Amino acid sequence: MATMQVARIASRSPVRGLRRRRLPFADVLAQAVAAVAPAGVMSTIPALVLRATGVNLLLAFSLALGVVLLVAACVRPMTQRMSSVSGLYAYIAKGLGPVPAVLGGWSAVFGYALIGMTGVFAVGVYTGRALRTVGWAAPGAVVAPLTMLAAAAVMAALMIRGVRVAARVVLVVECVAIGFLLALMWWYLAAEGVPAAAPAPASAADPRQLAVAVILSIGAFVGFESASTLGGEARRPLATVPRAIRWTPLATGALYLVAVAFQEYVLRPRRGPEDQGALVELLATSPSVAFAIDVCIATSFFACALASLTALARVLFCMGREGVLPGRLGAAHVKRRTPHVAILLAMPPVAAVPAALALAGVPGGQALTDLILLSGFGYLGSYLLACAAMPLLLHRIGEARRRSWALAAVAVTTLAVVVVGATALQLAWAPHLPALYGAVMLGAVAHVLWLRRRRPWALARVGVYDETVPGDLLDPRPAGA
Amino acid sequence: MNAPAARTPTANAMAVVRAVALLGFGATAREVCAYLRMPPASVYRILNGLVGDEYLVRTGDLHGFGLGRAAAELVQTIAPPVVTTAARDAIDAFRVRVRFGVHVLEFRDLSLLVADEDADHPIQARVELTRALHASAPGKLLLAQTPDWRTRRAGALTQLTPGTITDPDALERELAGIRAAGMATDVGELVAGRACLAAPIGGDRERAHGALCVTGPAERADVLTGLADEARAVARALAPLLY
Repeated sequence: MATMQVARIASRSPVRGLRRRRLPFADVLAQAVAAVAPAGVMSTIPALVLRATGVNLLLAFSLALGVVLLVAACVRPMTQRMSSVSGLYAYIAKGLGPVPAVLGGWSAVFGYALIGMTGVFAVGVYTGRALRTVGWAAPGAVVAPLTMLAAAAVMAALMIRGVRVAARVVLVVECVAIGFLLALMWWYLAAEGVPAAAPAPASAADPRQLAVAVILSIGAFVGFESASTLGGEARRPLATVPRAIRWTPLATGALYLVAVAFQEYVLRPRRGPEDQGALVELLATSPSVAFAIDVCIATSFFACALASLTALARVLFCMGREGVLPGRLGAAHVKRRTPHVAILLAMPPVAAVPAALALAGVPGGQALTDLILLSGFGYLGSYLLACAAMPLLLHRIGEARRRSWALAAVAVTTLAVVVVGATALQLAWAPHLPALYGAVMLGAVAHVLWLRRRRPWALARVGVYDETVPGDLLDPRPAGA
Repeated sequence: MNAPAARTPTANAMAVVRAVALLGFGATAREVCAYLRMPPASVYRILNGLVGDEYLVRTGDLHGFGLGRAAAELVQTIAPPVVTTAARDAIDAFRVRVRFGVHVLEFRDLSLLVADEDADHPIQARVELTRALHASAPGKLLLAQTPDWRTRRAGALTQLTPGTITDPDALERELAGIRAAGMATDVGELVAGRACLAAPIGGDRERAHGALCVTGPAERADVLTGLADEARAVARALAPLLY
């Protein structure tokens, strides 16, 4: 033995109050999958990529999958060692320290909130479309905002009721939607066959176009890391959370590759290069199919919002516990054992922004694109910091290896290229998006400075997680007792 | 005393658990590597796998390791029961009063451990006693407080003697009777010609921690049954001395 260290365990968990160690693997996976919303994404984002760039979808999505797998490979070792309740925020804190953690935390909060808004907005839009398809011609300007507010209220109720109920709902919804879309593709392929003519090479690899396409495609994967916000509530979190983080990008990636290959090689040659409609629009051959697809997308986005807000509430909950945010946010419902104050505080803006956008008459497609792109900044920012934190965290606990440093270096460089590229392109396209994210991050910097002056004790506490407590070591009484 | 690197993954994992146990609570990954002379990569992988499955836990600073609940269960189910001097005196006093064998058994999850055996009346069929819970009085007492015994103890109810209850539904009825009586008996079910009476130790309202058993020839079962109240009283007196 080289050095003697004083080993210590906390007498009680700093994040006590949540229902500890209850969710089985299926529920943890459900959280990760729902936050990604594969059904909603595979029917919307490929079209968005096509419209913006016209590059080969399969190539763009394969590259995006590569970037996301790098991030997952960086996040996984941390989830094996520490059961976080606030996702990447706590890992950044343990690796890079409190200041980057608060910045990364706000970046993640921004991402989760924006995806929550996206989900709420999409629920309204697609429900409205589905209703119109069946001939219920209500004024969309009224129905959509009301649907959004109602959906947000249902989400809040489900989340306060308990994360378990929410996760179950989400998994069923997502599986049904994915199954339906796959069946539709299968049916189309069986009826129409693969076009004999080789597809025209899509606008031969302009690197700039490809960069945009990759950035947009990454948006299709974000959310998988949100499984790490269930570290306190999952059963055997140090086994189940890493498993969810490993499999979610792989599984959704496989699904996307099928969907974009279908779009690229079956639909596109048939419809001509100028027709770049969404997969679903091309598949929707009859009103009843169109109705079913719209319902699928709406439910998938509902699940997505639910999962993102579940993660959001837990980050805010931890910030409340640490004193980084007002302590009230760190309260847990005594009976339900959910972070109800954080949920109730997060919901009004998440419901109000999409409702306001709908009332203002912003076109659905445009609003969705903007919200998704904007959330992408939040996610990428937190991913970047988390990947940088990984080897430092491992080094701190004496388990870093040369491979960890190399992996992090590659991941951080790749993400930096993506973030810089995204910012540069966005500044040329729609400067208000990076400006808004920049403003939020400036606010985060101001928050850190304020914490430094006024609440140094809170900054020192940053990174609370679900620690080992005596009950994890030994049963106080014999097992049979 | 360092264990040489084992050859199979399972053996490696067990070696890591053993190393953490021997190095003491808070042992670090490096210490385990040095102790086992195994490559860090394998040790880190094994440690994280074991922490995931809760055989090990990490200390608050994430540096160190200790035995987790799953490993603790392994230890708890085989560690020999402790019988205090005061408890032994009480048991011996009871032995002097009755002319039967008196044993104290401890319940460990779904198994029985002999805590104190009567030297003058050695336990017969010791293996059957601990394995065939459905055939003995203390075993049935343990099953009676384990509602999910059917799923947890899979396998047929072995016929040890003509008297053994082998029908699950019949056994369920027997267990209901035991719960109502707070007492279990077996007459020729474990060993032909032997009878046993078991009174729960501790756990008036919840689970008992063990059983006080009085055994004798089956033809004197009525005398044994007559001792029920006394056995119950002794068992009650033993509870605070043992647990």
